[in-house]
This record gives sequence, structure tokens and C-alpha cells, in this order.
Amino acid sequence: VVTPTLGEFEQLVLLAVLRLEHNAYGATVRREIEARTSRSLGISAVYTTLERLEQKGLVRSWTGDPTPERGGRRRKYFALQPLGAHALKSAHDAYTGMVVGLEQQLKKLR
Amino acid sequence: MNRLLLFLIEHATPACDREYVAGDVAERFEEVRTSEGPAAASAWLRTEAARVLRQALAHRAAVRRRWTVIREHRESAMSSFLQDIRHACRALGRAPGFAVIAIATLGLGIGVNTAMFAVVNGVLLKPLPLAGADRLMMVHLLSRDSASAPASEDVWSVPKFQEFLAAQQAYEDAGLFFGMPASLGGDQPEPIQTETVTSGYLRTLDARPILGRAFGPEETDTAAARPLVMLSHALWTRRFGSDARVLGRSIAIDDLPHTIIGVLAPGFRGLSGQADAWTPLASRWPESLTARGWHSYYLVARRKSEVSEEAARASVAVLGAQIQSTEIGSPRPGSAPGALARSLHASRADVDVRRASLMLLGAVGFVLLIACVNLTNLVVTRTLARRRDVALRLAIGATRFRVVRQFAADGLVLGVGGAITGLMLSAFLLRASVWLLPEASVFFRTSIAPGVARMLGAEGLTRIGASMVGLDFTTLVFAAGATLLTALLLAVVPAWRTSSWQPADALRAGMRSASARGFGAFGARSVLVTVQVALALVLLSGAGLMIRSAIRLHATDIGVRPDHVVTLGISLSPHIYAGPKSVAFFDQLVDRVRALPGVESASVATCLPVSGGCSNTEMWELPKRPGASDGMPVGVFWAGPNYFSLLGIRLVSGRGFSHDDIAGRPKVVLISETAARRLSPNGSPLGKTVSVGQGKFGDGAEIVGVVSDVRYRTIEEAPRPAVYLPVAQSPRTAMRLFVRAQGDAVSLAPAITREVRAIDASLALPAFKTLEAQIDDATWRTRVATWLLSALATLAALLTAIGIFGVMAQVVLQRTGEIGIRVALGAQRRDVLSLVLGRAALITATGLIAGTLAAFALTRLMSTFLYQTAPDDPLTFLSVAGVLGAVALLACYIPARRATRVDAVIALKGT
Repeated sequence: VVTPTLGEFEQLVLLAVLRLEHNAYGATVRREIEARTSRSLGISAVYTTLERLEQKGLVRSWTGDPTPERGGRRRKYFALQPLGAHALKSAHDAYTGMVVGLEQQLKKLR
Repeated sequence: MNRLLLFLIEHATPACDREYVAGDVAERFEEVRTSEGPAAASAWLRTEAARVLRQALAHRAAVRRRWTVIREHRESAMSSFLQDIRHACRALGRAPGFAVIAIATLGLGIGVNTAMFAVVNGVLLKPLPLAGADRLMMVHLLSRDSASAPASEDVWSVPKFQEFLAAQQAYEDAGLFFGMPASLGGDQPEPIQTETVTSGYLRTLDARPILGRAFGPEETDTAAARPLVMLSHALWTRRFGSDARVLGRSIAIDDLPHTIIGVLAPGFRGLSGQADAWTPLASRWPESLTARGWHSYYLVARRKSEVSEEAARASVAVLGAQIQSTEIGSPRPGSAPGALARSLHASRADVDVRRASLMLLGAVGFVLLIACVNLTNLVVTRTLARRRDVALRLAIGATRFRVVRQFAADGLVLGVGGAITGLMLSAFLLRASVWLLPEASVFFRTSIAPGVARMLGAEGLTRIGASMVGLDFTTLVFAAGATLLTALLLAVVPAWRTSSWQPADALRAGMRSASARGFGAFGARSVLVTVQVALALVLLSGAGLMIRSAIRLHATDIGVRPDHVVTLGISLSPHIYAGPKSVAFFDQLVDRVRALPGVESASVATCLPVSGGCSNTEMWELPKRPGASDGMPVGVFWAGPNYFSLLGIRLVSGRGFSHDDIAGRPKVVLISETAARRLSPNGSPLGKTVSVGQGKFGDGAEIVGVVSDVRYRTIEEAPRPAVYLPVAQSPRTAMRLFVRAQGDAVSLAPAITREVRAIDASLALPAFKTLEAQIDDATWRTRVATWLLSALATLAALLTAIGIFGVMAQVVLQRTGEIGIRVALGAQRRDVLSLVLGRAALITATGLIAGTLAAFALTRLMSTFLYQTAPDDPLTFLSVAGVLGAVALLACYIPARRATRVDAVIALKGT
């Protein structure tokens, strides 16, 4: 199996999904990334990325029940697929592998 | 929450995410509101809406870009096909020689095939223009001339027909008819074709009047019938200006007044194909109503829809046997009486026309095949030449499909070019076919095939004429099919050739003019050329046999001297010129015509030589020997005194007719040599008394002379026994004037017409005909088949020569290097020559042997068209093989000569 390579934003979205476990849907994913990276995201961008990841077989999705606080609308939940986990792992390995020995220098960068 | 903003957000989001996005927004809005207050929440919502909108617009732009890319891709696929076509056209433009030869070859092949198919379609395939024609059948009585002769189809008498009608159950309706010429009286008398019919005839054919009414049964089938007439739409329009008041008016047909009772629908011309008027059988020939032996009429019947053709045929056979077995007098020994039913469609063109058309269609098919072999060879040569081009394309990333598509485009361009050329050619050929298929009276003569007789008076069925063939829809579909097939072939062969090429291989080979693979291609092409030689030999053999037949036919003595003789049929009204009056008329006419300047002699008789025969009857020697069962079947002819010397018919023994052999004197007859041999095998028939079944000569007449044989039926058929009665002793109203001129016979026509009119101005005169034209008509079938087959065979030989030339030229080109090495090593001119010619001889010899074997099998199918020539005639086979072999070797001459001039140094440099 060829491990798909991931874009940076895709990695962020997958990490958010991983962290959120069973509560990963558009709003929580976005909040998680916004909170941890201090970036400001458009909700559409989050959904577009999640759908692309789903098409690649990296995540799966299901819909929840309608809730009153959403005005009777449903949530679309996402969870990591094995292929997604694998891709995330290899992206992380690659990153950490590259980072090894550079910690001091990276800290000096501004 | 601002509903408008939420609405905007919802609708800026793709439908699939709308619910979730809106839900997320609502959730977050509530969170912000509870934590930071309504104002902050509203502010957040505005920012969010702006962000979503911005993103949506950006997304939409991206999508549009992607669609544009897809559309452009599709458009380029379409335009790249057009590009392929343009490229093919340009490539052909760069090789105009190839283009012209290819398109001309293809056009020739498609053209002759389309033209021939148009003929077959018009003559054999197109449905007859009659309602429900598939259920119409001709029913023939069967008879035979003698115990040993094969049964032949015969006509009906009215009483036998009535028996048939009363007993049969397979048919809805049936009727009798007989077509005959008549003269239509009036201010301008004119000859017209009429059909004498029973009432069932028009009902059976579903021919309905558009004006007036049809015949009732009592008007056509009983002795009380009055003379009535129905007109064709054509005659009604032409003669009566489509006047509805013609009903009830009287017109003279053969000088007898007939009352017009109806006009038939446009287009209907009866089974004679040319009829303009229909008269009741009972008023025309009331005597025939009760005469059981008066066999004159054709029977057409409409099969019941629930009865199969097979069942109808079986019931007719049984019924026919019953009817024939009640024949008065003892049944003839060994005769097999019966009847035969055949569908109208099967009767429409006689067996020979059918076979000839199919044979020629097969021949043109062969020509197309040969043309295709040539083209394939040309295309393969061209493919080899374009190897480098193809290799480059493959190397820089063209897909195989792309390359094949280019070849398909080439094939399509050639195919369409060939089709256009072919259609123009076939249109021209069909126009020119008027020359080969003269309109009107071109009917096949009595067939030489056993059991198939020319249907006198029903020629509409077996008629073929130029007007019947044309480029109709079916023919165009055929041409399109032929084009598509050839185009496909032209695309498939190079595609198949290139499919195994690897870009690198091809590039390498492409750099050089010759390669090991090139010879591989040559092997396949040798096979193709061998096939070509074989096909051409089959065609040439067919043509050779036809030419031999034609020569034999031409050399056959029909028993008369046809030069400078012109004839003219004259029908007198039996009502006005009864008995001796007609004798006086013709005597006077002959005297007046003989007195004309330029006339050598003139006479009258009843029958034209080689016209399919005229009247037949039986002749007995009197007194009848006890136990003598059978009369001799003879053709019976009436003739004036000078007839024999005029036509050059020799008097073998005894005397000819004299001016003293007139009514009241002892009856005399002349018989032909064949009749004399049958009548008295060992002695002289002179002085014997015979009874002749026609012309009131039943009570006996003396044989006063024997004359040489004349072929009255066909040129091919051996003369039958004939008996001649003197006109003066047995008057006839329908005679034929024969005039021998000193110079040009045709130029006498106006003067002869004047003499006829001077005696009786009311006579309608049919056209003059020279005896030579009559013989031309009789040899028409052989002549046309010979011409067409010879033309096709010549074409085939030419194409084959081109094919051999092409392949050998290619061989020499490819082996230039090898030849150079040989020359360098000391090979002589002769060695080089034998190298090339040996190859050519091998191809040719293989082709000739295969072709001879195929021809042996196939020429058997044409044995009925041959005259005094065996279908495996060794002389013909040897000579055509020799001719084709010579042509093949001639085609090798130029390439072989080129090979002998190969300069070793240049050739070796080239490799």
C-alpha cells in the first residue's frame, strides 16, 4: 500500500480528528486547530479538507442525531481510518526524523 | 441570530455540507452569545459570513477553471480527430500518386459493384409493384414434346382452367391472361399492347379501377360476353386527356368496337408489363371457352394467406395430374402430365437472368477483392515508409490508440474518396447500361435450360430494361457498406502491422531503408498477390469461356441469310379481312413492295428466325398407322412462295411453293430436313400425306418438298422439326412482311409504309426490324455476359499486374543492399535477374495453380451460359493461364531491370 503524502493543513486536520476521538466534527476540528495554532480558519475550508481526506480513504464519516442547540440540524462526525493513521504516523516520523539534532537551531529561529 | 446572514452562509456552502456548516455556525453563535454577549455573537457571525462568502467565491472560480480545462480537453479530442483527417488529407496531398491510384482503384471497385448491385436489385430484389405480391403465383401446366424430352411449362385452356378453379382450395382467386399487340383505331391508329383476361385476373392482382368499374364474371367468362374494354391510366391520359366522360364510349380495337367501362389505377400495366387495354377473353375469343385443347393463357393465382407456398405447390401438382389425365384420347406414353406453381417473384426473372446477374455480381465482387489486395499492398508499403514517423510519435509519447486513429483517418479519407468516385462511376455506368440493356423488347429468349420457357405474352415479369435500374436507397446503402468495409480493411492492416512495433525498434529500423522485419512484411504481401493472381485467373477463365461461346454462337448457321433483310409485322382485323381477303391484301402488298426501287424481293411469312419460336402443333402421317400413338411435335409456319429464296433457305428436294398452290387446289406442305429425317428415316418423305394440327390442314396435305433447317427458337438450340403451309391455302391475318433490299434495307422503310397505307390507311404499323437486329437480340445474353465478363477480367488482370509490379518493386528496393553485395562478389546480370524473376515466377505459378483449381470448381456454375464449350475447356484454361503469366512477368520487367542496374558501390553505401 502506498502511503499518501499529506499537505500541512491536512496533517493539522488529521491531528485534530485524532485528538478529538469521538467528538470530531466541523466545529470542534476548527476550534481545536484555531486554539492550538492561533490561526483563524474558515469553516468551509475545514469541511473541504475533511471531504478530500474521506475521498482518499484517510477518514470516515457518519451523521449524528439532530440537536436543539443547532436548530434541529445534525452533526457530521469524522474518525481516523487505518490508512489515515498510517499516513499521519509516517508524516510525523518524517518530520521528527528531520528535526532530530536541529532542536537547538530551530529554537533560535524566529 | 441574524437570519439573513445565516441564509447567506447556508447558500454559499455546497448543498452536501449545508446542514452541518449551518449547524456548526448556530452552535458557535450560541457559545459566543452565552460567553461574550449578543453583540459579540452578532459581530462574530458577520465575520464568519464574510469569510464563508469569500471562500465560496474563490471555490467557485476554481471549479470553473477546472471545467474549462475538461471542456477544452474534450474539444481538443474532437478537433484532434479533425486534425487527423486534415493530416491524412495533407499526407495524401504530399503523395498525389498514391492518392490518385488508391482512390481510383477503390472507386473502380466500388463503382462496378454498385452498378452491378443496382442491376441485381432492380431485376431480382426490388418487390414487384403489385399489392400483396408475395402471395401471387404463376401456375403452369406441364407438358413434354416427346416421351424422352424434359417436361416444360405450358399454358392453360379455358376448360382446364375452369376445372382447376372448381377443384382447387389453396387460392383465393385466380385468372387467365394473355398479352398481345393490337391496333387501336381512331383518327390516328396506333399499335398498343393489350391483355385478354378473365375477370379473376384483375381481382387476383388487386388492380382496381379509379374510374368506372371492373369486369363482372359473366362479362368475361361466358359466351354472352360483350366487347368491353378497360384502359390503363397512361392510355386514358394520353389518348383521352383524362376525360371522365369516356365511360360508355366506343373505341375500335383491331377494328372491333369495344365499350369503355373503366380506367385502372396509374402504374398498373399488367403482367405483360406494357398493357394499355384489357379486354374480356370471352368476347375476344369466344371459341376458346369450350375448346379444351386451346392452350393459350397464363394462369396467375393469389394464394390464401393461411396456405403455405409449399402446400399450394403440392396441391397444384396433384390437381394438375388429375386435369391432365382426363385428356381426351389416350395419355401419351411416358408423359408426366401435371402442373407446377411458382411464386411470381421466382418467375419474374427467368433462371438464366437470375444466374447471370448473380454470376456478374460475383465477378465484380472479385474485382473489388483484387482492388482491395492492391490497396492493402500500397498501404502496407506506405506504412513501412512511415515507420520512422510512427516511431517518433510513439517515442515522444503518442498512445498506440492515437497512432491507430491516424491510420483510421487515412483509411476513411481514402474510403470516402473512393466512394464518391465509385458513385459517380456507377451513375455513369448505369446511364451507359442503356447500351447493354436496350429498353423494351429485350427479353431472354427461350432458355436452353430444360423446363424453363420464355413466357410469351407475360414478358413483364422477365423483362429487364435500363429504366428498371437506378441508384435507389438500397443501392446507396450497399455502396456505403462496401465503402465502410474497405475503409476498415485499409485501417486495420497498417494498425495490425504497427501494433507490434516498439518505439525503439521502429526508430532503429526506420533509420535504414531495409531491415529484417521488412522481409517479414514481404511474406504476407506475397500471399496477397498470390491470391490476387488466383482471383484474376478465375475471372479470366470465365471470360475466356464466354468469348469462346460467343465465337461459336456467332459462327452458328441459323439457316437464313440475314443481311439486307428488313421485316415488318402486319396485323389485319380478322373481321374485315376474313379468309381470302387477307390473301388478296398480302398478295397486293408483296407485288407493290417488290415494284419499289431498291427492293430485290419481298414475301410474307409468320415467324421471325431466332425469335423464341412461334406456333407449335403436331403432325401425323396419313393414313394413321394402327398403334401409332404420337404425332410428331412440329413448329408450324405459314409462308408465301418467295419466302425461302428470299431468306436463302435451301430447297433440299422436291419443289417449293408456287403461285398455283392456292385455295381450291390440292393442299401441299414443305417440311424441314429434321422433320424429314424423323418422318422417313430411310427414304424420301416426298409424296407422303400428312395431317397438320393447325391451319385447317388436319385432313391431310401432300409433302411436296424438303427445305433446309432454320433455327426459329434460339441460336443455341438445335433446329426442331418444322412444317410450312402455303399462305394462299391457309389464310392468316397476322403476317410478317420480309423485304430483301439491294442496298440499305432500313432506308426502304418509308416507302414500304407508304405502300401499306396506300392499301389500308387504318392499319397501325409496328416498327421495322432488320433480321440482323433480330439476331443481335438473340445473342444479347451471350454478348452482354461476354462483354461484361471480359471487361471485368481485363480490369482484374490489370489490377493484378499493378499488384505484382508493386510488390516486386518493393522487393528490389528492399534487397538493393543484398543485390549490391552479390554484384560486388561477382554475380552476373543473369543471376540478379533470376533472383528477382524467380521470386515473381514462384508467386505467379502458385497463383495460377490455385486459380485454375478454383476456376475448375466455379466455371461449372456458368455452364448454362456456355454454348458448345465445356466449362473445363482445357484450351481456354491453358491460354488464359498463359496470358496471365505473361502479364505477370511483364509487370516484373521494370523492377527486374532496375535490379540489374544496381551499382554495387552505391548500394553498399546505402545500407
